[in-house]
Amino acid sequence: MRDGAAIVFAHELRVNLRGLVAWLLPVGALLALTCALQRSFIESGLLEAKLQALPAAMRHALGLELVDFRRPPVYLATNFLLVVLPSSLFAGLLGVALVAKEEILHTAELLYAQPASRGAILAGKAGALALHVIAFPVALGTLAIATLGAVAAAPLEAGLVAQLFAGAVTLAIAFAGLGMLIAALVRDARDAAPVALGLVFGTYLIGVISAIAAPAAPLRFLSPFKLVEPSAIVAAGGLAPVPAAALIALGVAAGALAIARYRRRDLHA
Amino acid sequence: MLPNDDTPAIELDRLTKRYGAARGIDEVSFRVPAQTIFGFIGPNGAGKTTTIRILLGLIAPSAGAARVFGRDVATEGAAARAHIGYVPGEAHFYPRQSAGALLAYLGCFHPGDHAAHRRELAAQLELDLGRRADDLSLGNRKKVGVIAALQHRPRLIVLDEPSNGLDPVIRARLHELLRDEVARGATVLLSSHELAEVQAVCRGVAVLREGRVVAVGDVETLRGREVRHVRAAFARPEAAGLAAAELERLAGLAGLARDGAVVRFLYDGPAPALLAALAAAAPVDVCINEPSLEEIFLRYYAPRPEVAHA
Repeated sequence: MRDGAAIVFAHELRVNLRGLVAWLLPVGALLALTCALQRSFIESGLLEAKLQALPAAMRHALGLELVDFRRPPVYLATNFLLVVLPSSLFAGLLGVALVAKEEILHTAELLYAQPASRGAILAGKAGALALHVIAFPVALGTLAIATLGAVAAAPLEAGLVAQLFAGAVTLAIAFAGLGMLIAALVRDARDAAPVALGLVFGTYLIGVISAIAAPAAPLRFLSPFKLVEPSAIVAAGGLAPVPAAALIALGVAAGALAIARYRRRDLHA
Repeated sequence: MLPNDDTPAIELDRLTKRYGAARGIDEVSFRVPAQTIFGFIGPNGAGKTTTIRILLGLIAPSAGAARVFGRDVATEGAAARAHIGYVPGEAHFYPRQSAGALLAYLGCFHPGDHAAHRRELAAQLELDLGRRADDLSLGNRKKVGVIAALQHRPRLIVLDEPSNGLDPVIRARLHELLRDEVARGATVLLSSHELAEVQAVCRGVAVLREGRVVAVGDVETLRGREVRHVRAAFARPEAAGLAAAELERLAGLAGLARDGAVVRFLYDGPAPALLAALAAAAPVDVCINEPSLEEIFLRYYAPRPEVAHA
């Protein structure tokens, strides 16, 4: 007999692979296409013209202040919403699913009646979740580096590009933990996914609003997206360690709280 | 054979579960001796499933204790569950997974290689392990649940309404499997509202009503309680009506029903009072039998005597 956590980890890793691929295919294709078009955007001047047409406040709000698109990290940072939003959504929804699915599918009696503690089962799920949500931006990052490396005329600055994706990883870890926590807190497991969706989109919008309206500026602290903003990473020449660590700590703490809360939950399904 | 000692397989000690103001179970206490098939009966909503879920650690008791082979399910849950094979009332599975893959996954939680026993059980229950578990019929899903519970040869098998959806042949085969398991040394807790099934396979029984245990004992002892089934026939329906009115005054009478010139009822009061009341009504025929478990069960669920007119 293997340890309960290891059994659940291996199972969840396997059964959620299909979902990971289903998310990666469209997002990866869109990212690869965007990266592949970098050169033509530069030559046509189209992207720069469109961004310059935006009001300065809006460019600031959306993190589109960098304009030297010949530099691959700048070009990528301008289009990084393609990475951070799907990564965060995937992480939040998978965090919810791994905890809530046993109640939604009515398989709680099947799994939690096994001779493994609920904490061990949830730890196995959390391990699989962490691996999947890290794999998602890492796979996108690999794809972006490969595509930009092939098309960009300027030096790739692979280290800086990798740090952009490291920022996306920290966001994904935060939302994965928060997704688990939401699933552990809601009374009806089916309510968890909409709440997680609302959290990701809501905090993103809070970040945008906090950048547009000065009175709302303090709200930026409520948006994890603002902690690892791509334009700021490129401007600073790297990912700031404190905000990145804060996001990882948020995800780990939320996951631990979720496990502590779920261990005491009555499972009726 | 498994080790046999005096430790009961299940011991419930004033087990209570409250849902706010709503009733769950209230001070449920009984013991299930090892190496027996023990019935757990009661109508829907009586608290059978709540009790089982506490045993499995799925829900926490508000008060009291539940032990499986001496291990408290609240503090040593995983160790207690290591002894249990559980067949849920409604079998639900993960999507896109074959029955064989699902059973292999569940088998990983228990020591040893269960593949051969799993295949043997599937053959006995006529289940195709290659089919997707979530696409199976109700009966076949139930078979998957039974195999999941038995594949690791547990010391305690807990079944919640196991016969739902099974055809009579497979149901008989399941009962045979359970008897084999008990012969091997296992203990079975069979929760059911089908009294005929409990009567056919169980030695002991606990009756639950509105969250409380109302009777515990051997099936034969329970059947052999002082409760008797009485059938009295009269010359005319009017005489039966008069007799019914007279009999209703007897203490210990329950479930009085009149069908034309015949009255039937259950009685656990003093014999002289019954015989005097019957003699006064001048029946043409009287038959006093041991009641079926079902009749005893109904006796507990219909405490107020009612006269049913056909």
